[in-house]
Amino acid sequence: MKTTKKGLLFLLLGSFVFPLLFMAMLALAVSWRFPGIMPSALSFDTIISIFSKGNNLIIGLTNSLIIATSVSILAVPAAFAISRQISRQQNKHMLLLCAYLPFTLSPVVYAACLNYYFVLGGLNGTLIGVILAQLIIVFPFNIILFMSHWNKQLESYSDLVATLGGNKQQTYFKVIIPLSGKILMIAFFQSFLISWFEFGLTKFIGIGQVQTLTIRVYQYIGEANVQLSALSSLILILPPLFLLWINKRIIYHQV
Amino acid sequence: MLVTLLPLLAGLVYAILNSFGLTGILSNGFTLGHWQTFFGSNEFGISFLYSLGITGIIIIISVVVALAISINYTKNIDKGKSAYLFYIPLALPYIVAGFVTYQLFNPTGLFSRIAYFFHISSSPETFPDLTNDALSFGIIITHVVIASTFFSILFAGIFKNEKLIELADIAKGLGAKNSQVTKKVIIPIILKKAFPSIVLYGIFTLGSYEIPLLLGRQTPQFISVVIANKFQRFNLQDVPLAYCMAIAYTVLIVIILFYLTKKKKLYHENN
Repeated sequence: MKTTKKGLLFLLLGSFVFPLLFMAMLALAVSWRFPGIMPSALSFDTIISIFSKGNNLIIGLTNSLIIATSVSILAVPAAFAISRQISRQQNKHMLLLCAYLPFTLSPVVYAACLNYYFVLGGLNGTLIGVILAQLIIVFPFNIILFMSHWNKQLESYSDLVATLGGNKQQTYFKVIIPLSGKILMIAFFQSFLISWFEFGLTKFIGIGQVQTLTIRVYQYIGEANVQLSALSSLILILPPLFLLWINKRIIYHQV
Repeated sequence: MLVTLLPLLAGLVYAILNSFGLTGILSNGFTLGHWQTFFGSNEFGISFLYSLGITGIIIIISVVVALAISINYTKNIDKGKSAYLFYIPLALPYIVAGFVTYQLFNPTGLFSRIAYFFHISSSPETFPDLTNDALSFGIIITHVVIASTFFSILFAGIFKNEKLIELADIAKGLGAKNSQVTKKVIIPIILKKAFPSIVLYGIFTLGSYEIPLLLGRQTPQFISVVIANKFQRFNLQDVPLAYCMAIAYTVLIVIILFYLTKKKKLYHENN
């Protein structure tokens, strides 16, 4: 019984790792025609070529990094402060519903409805436009995330600081933020990941001119370029894997 | 909340105006024509019901698989090196997950090659259609792998936070069998606590775009794919109809969320 359980766990974990190895194989395979189970030759040429100047993948990687970092830096502090105000309101359930709406609507449908305003403002097809569009999704996500963070204990600490003569700034920087380190880190990671993974909204608002990594993967798949699709997919999942590893290693073991 | 509501309302106002012919490139003044076309065609209904049905199947399978994994492997999800591996599927963006599924299950994909090697199939044509197929196998398997991993981690967290091991010990001390503990104690508590997350995950899956785009068929299509295709087609007459569909979809999601908020099922109070 114990051996079967261990065997099943091994199979399960193997199935998690397998897609990564399979993608690495696809990225390195020079010729892999049916019915070959293994590629007939492997080459690092494609990987080396992406480091050449002006390569589309590097441009995509840079754009994705800029967008994801900007979105997290802008969304998290704003949502942190505003969610605290919402948590103190009588009608917080209805306000929370407002936060759920943009996040739960399909990003593609939402982008389609908003596209007109981005065209009007000359923002579609620009990096700033894509950042703004993603903020509309990532900001409410953070509101939802922080809502469960504000509890009576935290409010009591704030009241205590006020009673002892501390001002609002001191309450935030000396008490609330240090006590919220874990949730803030999670919020930054999650916001980065949502932005990093984003495809539908970026495709609509970026109109193909803002080349993020997800857009590049889609284009390579459309061109039936399996090798570059696999390589760009691998580049796309490396930062999330690293962040999830940090998330698990540091944050969950901190408290 | 203006920051979240204003863009949504602005988007909806434009969508409503466009659907009534009051704005847009081809607008000729107020008309009910687009809405008549919308209600006259069953395209939205079929697509919505198809998306809902597939989402239901995905969520049911994922929850069952995740319950089995989290109950049997709680420690492996929580601690040790295996805990890191459980996070790998969550690091896969939908577009990459769709690409991997396609490369594995398409008629010339890896599994077809393995079937050919073992003489199970004689050519790519004799391998069953598992991508862009009538049963939506490709869409379901891709979503299930990601969703069941997410739910496994979520359920394992609840298992730990709700001290279910201690509760199970108490139940056993009172004479309950292992199967009774699982059915009457562990599963009901996990499902009750995880209900908001399961519902929200279902709503996200309902609106998913990348996986059905890569692995779905031409018809029926997921609702997001139908709406996006109508917006991106060269036929501009389709745009107001796409807005009608976007409004209908938004209204349906708002009704579901409103109902859940009224019932206070979307989040737990934190004290």
